[in-house]
Amino acid sequence: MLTQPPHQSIEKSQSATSDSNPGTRSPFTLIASSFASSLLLGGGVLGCLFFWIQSQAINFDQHSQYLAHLRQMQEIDARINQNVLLAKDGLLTYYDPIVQEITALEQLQVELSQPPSFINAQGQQELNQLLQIQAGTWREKEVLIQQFLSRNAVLRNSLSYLPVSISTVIEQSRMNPVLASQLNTLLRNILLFNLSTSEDLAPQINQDMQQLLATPTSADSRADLENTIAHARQILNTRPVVAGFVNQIMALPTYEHSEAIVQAYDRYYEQALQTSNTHRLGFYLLSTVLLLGIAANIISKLKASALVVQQNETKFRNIFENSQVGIFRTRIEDGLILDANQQFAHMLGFDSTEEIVGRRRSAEFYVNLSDRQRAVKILRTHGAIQNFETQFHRQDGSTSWILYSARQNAEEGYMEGVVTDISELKRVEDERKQVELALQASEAELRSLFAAMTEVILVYDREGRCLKLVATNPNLLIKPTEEQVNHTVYETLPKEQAEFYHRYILQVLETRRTITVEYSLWIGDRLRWTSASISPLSDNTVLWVSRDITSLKDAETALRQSEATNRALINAIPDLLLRVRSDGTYLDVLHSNQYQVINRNQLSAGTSVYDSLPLDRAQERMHYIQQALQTRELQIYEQQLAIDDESHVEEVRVMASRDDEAVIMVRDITDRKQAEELLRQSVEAAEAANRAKSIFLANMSHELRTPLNVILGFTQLMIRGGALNSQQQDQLNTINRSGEHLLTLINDVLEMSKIEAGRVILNESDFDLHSLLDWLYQMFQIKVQSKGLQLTFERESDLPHYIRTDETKLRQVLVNLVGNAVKFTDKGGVTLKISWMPYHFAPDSDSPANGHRLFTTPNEAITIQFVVEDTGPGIAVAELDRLFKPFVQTTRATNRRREPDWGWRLVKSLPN
Amino acid sequence: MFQNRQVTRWILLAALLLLSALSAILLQQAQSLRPAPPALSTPVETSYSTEPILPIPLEIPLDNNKVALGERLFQDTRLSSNNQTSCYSCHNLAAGGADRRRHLRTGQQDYGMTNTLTVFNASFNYKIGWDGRFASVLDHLDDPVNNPSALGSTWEEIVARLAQVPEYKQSFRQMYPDGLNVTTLKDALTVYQESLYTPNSRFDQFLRGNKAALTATEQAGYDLFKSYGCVSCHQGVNVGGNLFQRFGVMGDYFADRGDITPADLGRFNATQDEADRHVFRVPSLRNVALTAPYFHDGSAQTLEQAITIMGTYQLGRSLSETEVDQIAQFLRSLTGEYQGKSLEE
Repeated sequence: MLTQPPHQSIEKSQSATSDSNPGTRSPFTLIASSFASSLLLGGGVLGCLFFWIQSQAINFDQHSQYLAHLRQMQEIDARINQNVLLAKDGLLTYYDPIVQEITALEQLQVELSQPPSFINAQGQQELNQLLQIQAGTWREKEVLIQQFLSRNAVLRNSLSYLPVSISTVIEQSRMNPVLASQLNTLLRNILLFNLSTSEDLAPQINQDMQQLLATPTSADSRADLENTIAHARQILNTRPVVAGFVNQIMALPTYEHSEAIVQAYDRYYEQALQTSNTHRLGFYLLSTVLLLGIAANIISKLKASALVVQQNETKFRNIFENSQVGIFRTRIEDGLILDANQQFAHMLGFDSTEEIVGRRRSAEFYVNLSDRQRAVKILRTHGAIQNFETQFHRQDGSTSWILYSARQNAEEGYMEGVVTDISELKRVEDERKQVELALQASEAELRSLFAAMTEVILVYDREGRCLKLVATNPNLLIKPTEEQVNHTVYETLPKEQAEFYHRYILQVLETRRTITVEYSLWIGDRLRWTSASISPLSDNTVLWVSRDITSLKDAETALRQSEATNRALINAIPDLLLRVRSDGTYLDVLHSNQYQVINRNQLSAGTSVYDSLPLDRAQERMHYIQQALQTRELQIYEQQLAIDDESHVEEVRVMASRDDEAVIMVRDITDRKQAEELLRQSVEAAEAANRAKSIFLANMSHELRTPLNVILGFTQLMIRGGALNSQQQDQLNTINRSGEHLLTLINDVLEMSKIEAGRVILNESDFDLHSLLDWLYQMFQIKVQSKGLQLTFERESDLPHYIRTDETKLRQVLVNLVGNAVKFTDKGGVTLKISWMPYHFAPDSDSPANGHRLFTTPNEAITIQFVVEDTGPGIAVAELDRLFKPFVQTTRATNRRREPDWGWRLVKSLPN
Repeated sequence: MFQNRQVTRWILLAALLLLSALSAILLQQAQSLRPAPPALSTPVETSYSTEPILPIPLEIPLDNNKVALGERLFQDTRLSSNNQTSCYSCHNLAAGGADRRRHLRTGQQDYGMTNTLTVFNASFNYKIGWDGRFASVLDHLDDPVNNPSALGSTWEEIVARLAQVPEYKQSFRQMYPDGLNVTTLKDALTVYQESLYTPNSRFDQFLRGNKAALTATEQAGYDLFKSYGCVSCHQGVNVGGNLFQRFGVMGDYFADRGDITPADLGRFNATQDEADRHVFRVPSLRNVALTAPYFHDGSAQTLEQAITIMGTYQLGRSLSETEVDQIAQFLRSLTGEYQGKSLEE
């Protein structure tokens, strides 16, 4: 009976154990094999189910019931037979048992016609056939039984009545004992006959009956006798019939039939049992195979998955080990390195991971430990940290920037992540930052430049709607940006202006050419001039770039005005103005109409110097032009020309204006010359007069001095005489001082006039400069002390001891300078600085010679510089010039003392 | 193991199969499917009564709801097509479960042409009908329903008519899982008829041991009944009804009566067997006192007449008046109780 199982299991195992190399199979084969195996599995399960169900086919209840029915059938049949026999023998006097059992049997037959389901078709058919036969037999039996019962009843009837009848007859025929005995004999024989199965007694009984009938009887009893005989005959006839029926009934093969059914059923039952067993076996087999197959499959799958896991493990380990980034796992609390890959070790400056795993702490490598604390904090809060930058120092001491991302495993207290060296990146970043900064700076510059621009850029469409507006300076907008964008010019500007705008927009759109227009707008409270460049941008839009040219316009206007003013000025100037190039070509000629020139026609822009002047004058002019261009200094010369038969003197001023251009101004100074001549003559006269005056004064002052000296002499004698009281002494002192003062004044006047008359003779002599300076110092010491001032002489260390010059004059000058200083200083001090230098050095007011002095020979000329400084109030600048004009007192002096201060003028004159 | 993987695989496979086969066989052997042979049915104790007549069981367990339903149906004229006739019309329980007519007449033609048999105790009968063509009460139901002389309807029509009555529908649904249909209708009627048994007649009481239940005359009648052989046919629990017999054993009843109708042929109508000519199913004598007229043709109006005829043709003897009276009295004692109430008038 074993058919499918081995086949299936072979296939199954194959598919199970050939799964060892999943990676090498194509997806199609994978799908196919999995499909096949699942199909097999499904088939196997179904097979198991089938077998199981089949094995459970036998319903034992049904079986036992059927069996019971069969048994019952046989029992009933037997009982019926038994009852029939009993009935025949008169032991069963009522027939209910028989008929009830017949009915029961019919019921059973209905039940039996449904054999149990586990009987196979063949069995069912056979059973049915047998049952049909049985049923047929049963019907026969029933009919026979009915007939039997019927006949038996008749028999019983007669049997029970015969004795009664006989006794009746006997009673009636009391006188006939023979009859009685005959009847009794008959009865006996009948009964015997009835009880026996043979017919032996029949003829005897017949004979007896005949005999009886022949016996004469009375009429009353005749009927009874006949009745008796009739009953006897009935018995005689009926009993064999009944016996015959019984035989027939017994002969019916109901038992055999039922036995056959039972046996057939048993046979088929056994068959079913066997089949069930087989199925069960098959079930066990198949299920075992299935289970083992599944187990094998699982094992192979496990192996395969283990392999895959191993491969994955290897793969991941490779990735881990060979990764270009450092992968690590460290303990959070102290940074102990739990796991690391090669790259990580390299990053820290180690050769292998063994040196760091379990031995070093990441905290050791942080440049800033606070970074780690910060990182840990972030890690603890968020559970992960991304792109954390910090600096590590490697084992060899070098530092690098690193970037890491990690995830924490809180329960186990470690973090794992990846780290890369970003030193290079950082460098690049820094560079980039710098570039960015530069860019930003330039951008800012550009922006401020841009902001300084004054353009307003708009985009208009065909209807004059402003689509875009870019304005660097919002102050230059008619209306703010929001009010202009998406509005038409008609909404923004006055009607005429808007039409003007619109016209131009349309024009540009028509012609597709850029136009430039200038117009003025009221912006705020100012009328601003704008120059706009309108260019087509697309089919329906134009680009309107407007620049504020108000300042330009203003400049233009101003320029025009100044030009006009200039022109007017030029026309008012009586001089001839020329602009000439270095080669003598006149570039511009400006002159009023009044100006007389030699040759008006030849004097215009484009002509040359040589065209308008005689040759020698032209050459002279050229010379000065060249000179002016070279030196860049104003050249002035005079030339004499004959114009229209008149002799003119002209002053020519040449000034270089550009590299190769000069401006020439020619002025007619003929009149001036004449005036000058006159003036000169008058000055001469005046000077002569002045000189005469001075001579007079000099003579006069000499005359004045003589009596004064006498006065002073005697006064001093009187003082020194000593026979005076203090009051008189004071008085004399006063007289003495005043006299001296007067003497000084006279001396001064004399000196002045001497100088004026030109009669100053420098008496050069050799004298001791040092002693002069000492005397000077001594002289003013008393004055200075009395005023509370400081007098300081600063002499250069190598100041010459002896010099040759007019001592007296020098003394005079120094006395005057220092005296004035002292006079006009109320507090502080006066300082005299004396320095010298070789003559050819330009005297510098303040600085001593800076060490480049050459050693001078005794007779070489030197310059000695005397500088007087004081801390007095000073003299106003305006007054300085006036000081050195003769006979002028500064205002300051006027305020203080009313003394003519000749000193200054004198001083100025002398050094000159 | 082996270097060659394929070989290993095949060996493993074989081992697998072997192992599974062994285990399967082992398991099968361990489990024996053969059940214990079915216990023989308990042997029926057959104790036979010495008396040829048995008393009706005092109580037969029946489903009272079905009985009540059947009773309603029994009396419902909806069962007939003309809505005038019900089972009760002929099987009048007040009239001994039959009618007092010789032939039933319902309009056009006579039904069956035989005297209505009583419905009381009909379930104890072996076959139903004078010709015994119905195997049981259930089988006989088709006849009155379809016969135009009786209810003149069909089961489907009756079911349809009854289905319109909510009470019937409800009742049927309560009692039968299938509700109201032909099968359940028949079943209800059958169960009802099973309930029409009349136990505890005085004779039954006598059989049960109460010798005082019968008078001396009745007892004498019973003795006669036995000795004269009447009991040969009229025996069993139903005092008859369980065998067939020729009407006219010792004489030719029909020749004497004449006017043979098809009904007179008796069982011959059912079996077509010549031997069954004039053979009838022996009627039950229970409540015979109530079911006049007697015989298939209702020719005997009284019990005495019937006894006399029986004596003549089945016994060949004319019975004396005393004997007839005794037997008649005995027969009267066969009247039982229905629902606790004696049917004796």
